[in-house]
Amino acid sequence: MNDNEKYIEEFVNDIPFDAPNEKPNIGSNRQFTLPRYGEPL
Amino acid sequence: MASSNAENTDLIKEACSDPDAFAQLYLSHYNDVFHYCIRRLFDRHHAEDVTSTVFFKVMHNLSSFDGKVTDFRNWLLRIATNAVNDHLRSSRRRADVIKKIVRNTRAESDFVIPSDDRLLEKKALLKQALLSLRPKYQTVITLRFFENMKLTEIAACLGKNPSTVRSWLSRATAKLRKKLKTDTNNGGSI
Repeated sequence: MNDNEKYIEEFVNDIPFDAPNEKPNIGSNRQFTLPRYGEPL
Repeated sequence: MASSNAENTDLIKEACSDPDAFAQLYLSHYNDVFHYCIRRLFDRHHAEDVTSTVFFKVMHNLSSFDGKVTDFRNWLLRIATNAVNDHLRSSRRRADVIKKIVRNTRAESDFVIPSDDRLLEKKALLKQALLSLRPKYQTVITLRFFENMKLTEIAACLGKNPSTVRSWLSRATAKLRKKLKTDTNNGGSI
């Protein structure tokens, strides 16, 4: 590892990034189902 | 990883035709793809959009994946790299991304404790410096320093010769270091 790589590695070392909020539940059919007429949204 | 390679290979095969198996594959790899995308794009909403695009492409091309299960993550990261680069390719969109980053940096600082100020400033500098590089340089920096991949792994992931990747990494790190130092001298306190 050269000097530039060491510099970048140290620079990025402790920078925080967002984690994903939540995984979309694509296994559920419910979210892809349109509500029936009269059914609350 | 709890499940065996044989089970994962079966899951990949099943996912070509079974939506439930694809959902399982999606859930087990979503974080890996999002992790990479947010470190390329520095924005949750852009990262979520591109992660969705990646799995859309995976869904349509999974039957063409003929590698080993150990290559699957590299295959995903290659698709993610192309999707991120496509996302950034439009100069207008790239300008929008950078503008939003600058705006969000201010907003982020309203929600963190004071001890995080230095890290937020470093992150803002990194965002601007990294996004100003050519996409291929952004790619090798992210894979090397955020995904902790070795040179040979990056080469395999991108389908490039290791000597090409070594050359890209050398230029990318030199350019990024220069930009980070310039930006720091121009107002940052890092």
